[in-house]
Amino acid sequence: MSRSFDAIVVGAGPAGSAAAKIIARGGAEVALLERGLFPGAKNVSGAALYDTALLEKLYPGFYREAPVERYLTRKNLGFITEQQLLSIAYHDDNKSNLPYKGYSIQRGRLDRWLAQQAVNAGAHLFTQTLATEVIKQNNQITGIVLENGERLNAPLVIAADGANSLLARSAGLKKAPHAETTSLGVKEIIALPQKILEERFQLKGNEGASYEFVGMVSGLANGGGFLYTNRDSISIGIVAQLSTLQQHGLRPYDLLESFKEHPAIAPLLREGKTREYGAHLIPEGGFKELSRLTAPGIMVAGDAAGFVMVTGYLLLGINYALESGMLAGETALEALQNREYSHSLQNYKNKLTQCGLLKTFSSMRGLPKNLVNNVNLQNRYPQLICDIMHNLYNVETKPLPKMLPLLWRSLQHSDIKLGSLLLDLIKIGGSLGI
Amino acid sequence: MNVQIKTATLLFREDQNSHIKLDYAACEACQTKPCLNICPAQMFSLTAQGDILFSYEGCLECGACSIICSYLTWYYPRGGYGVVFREV
Ligand SMILES: Cc1cc2nc3c(=O)[nH]c(=O)nc-3n(C[C@H](O)[C@H](O)[C@H](O)COP(=O)(O)OP(=O)(O)OC[C@H]3O[C@@H](n4cnc5c(N)ncnc54)[C@H](O)[C@@H]3O)c2cc1C
Ligand code: SF4
Ligand code: SF4
Repeated sequence: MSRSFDAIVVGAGPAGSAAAKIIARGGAEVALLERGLFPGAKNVSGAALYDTALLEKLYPGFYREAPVERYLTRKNLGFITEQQLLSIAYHDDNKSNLPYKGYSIQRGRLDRWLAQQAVNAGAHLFTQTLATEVIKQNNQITGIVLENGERLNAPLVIAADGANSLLARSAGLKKAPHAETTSLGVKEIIALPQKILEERFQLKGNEGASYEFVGMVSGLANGGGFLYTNRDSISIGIVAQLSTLQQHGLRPYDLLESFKEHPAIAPLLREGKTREYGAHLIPEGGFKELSRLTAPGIMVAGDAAGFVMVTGYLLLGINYALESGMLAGETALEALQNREYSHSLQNYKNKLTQCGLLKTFSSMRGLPKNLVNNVNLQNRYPQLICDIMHNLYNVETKPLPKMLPLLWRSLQHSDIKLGSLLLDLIKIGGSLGI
Repeated sequence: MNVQIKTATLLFREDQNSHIKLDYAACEACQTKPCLNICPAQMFSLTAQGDILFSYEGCLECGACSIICSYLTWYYPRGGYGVVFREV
């Protein structure tokens, strides 16, 4: 049996649902395929969702209607060692300045809503439907084969099937991921009565807090941790590079447990009850490991393309998934109008360049090497910073320690060489664009 | 809290057959067996004889094992089967 559409989008995550919505809104017949029981059933993020300008453009009124948990007014960046935590707290009450500047979200609710927007625009959503490979005729992708052998034909396919993207791989646009540039995220959603949560995190109404942690949370593996407040729960998790997890024989759930038991974290979770566990991969290769974005008849969007940015203080992926999905959708509509499905797909890349997305990735191309793979940054620097704080408050020292000598002494006591510190400052600063 | 308690919070729609296939001859020759540690659901374990034991029923479909081991035939379960993250 075979059916035909104008376009087929594989994966009803943020990238796929955004693409399908744009295509359907333009009047074309689009199939949105999702292997999960419902959109979101296979998906795990932190998560904090940013780029509200994009959200309002794609979904006008998003800030009122979308099922977000809380809007983020308290952002914290923590440097953590086994016993210590230095955190930088940033409070920004942007209530009067709508739309809000970032939300905590849960994928189960958000993904269903995003897919519903595509359906409302006229997309045909097929859940519990696994796409197994692309159909290729004379170098042109012309459809998708489903697990039961059924063929769906379309002049355009959008692979929005996430980090593992078996589809982009089957189309020859992407190589298998590497352990050095892929991280594993594990998380828990911990239920906490809303009143306790709001008091504990000093939140008024639907305000929310986000925390990113650099340091020992991932043990000897390179990585970090996060914590977000939802309406009546906390999302807490760690992210760790696969290669260093493997190298040190670390178990991801053990790392999560020790993070939860950290003296500065445990009190935040007190009386909480674990509601759900989850795990998912994160492609962290950045610019150098982006997939090929197009080939005749196919475009790749979201995690499948590698559009994830990890900076230590931010983990961005959902917003890039939505944006690249939207642009792939726009390109698809134009291609359908012109009935040209090969060269015209170059426009997808042009659009990604024009909106600055590709520039973000190319200008931060050094991040995976200098940040994600930097042992000093992951472990030694948080220790150094916390030791400086320790000495700063050590009032028994007489005379009271002065700043510069104290910094110098702490550096000497650590096993960090001044030269490598300066070099890191330049490298990390350079790739973060400081 | 151990990993079994963690995965017990999840809903699974079990299929009859495993979506991941091991090459047990390769496992026998595999010195380090990284799958034992990397899997976030601890789906890989050792028998008393030291052989690899794999169960697919509680798999979170993350793909980590497929990256660190080149002897696996790794795929997703059939549509609608496998893990269900509710996240609500
Ligand atoms: C622990 C963790 C924390 C994160 N935190 C954040 C955060 O705070 N903020 C942020 O912006 N990003 C965060 N991210 C990244 C973010 O989750 C991803 O970038 C985002 O989900 C990408 O969206 P996507 O639509 O490209 O892919 P996905 O969300 O993975 O969606 C892909 C969809 O395709 C479906 N699918 C796959 N293969 C097939 C197939 N063959 N047939 C049919 N359907 C298929 C899947 O079931 C899924 O629904 C985090 C990720 C992790 C793992
Ligand atoms: S890593 Fe692969 S080959 Fe080695 S024991 Fe595990 S499954 Fe078998
Ligand atoms: S896919 Fe993930 S959860 Fe499933 S067996 Fe492999 S490592 Fe474990």
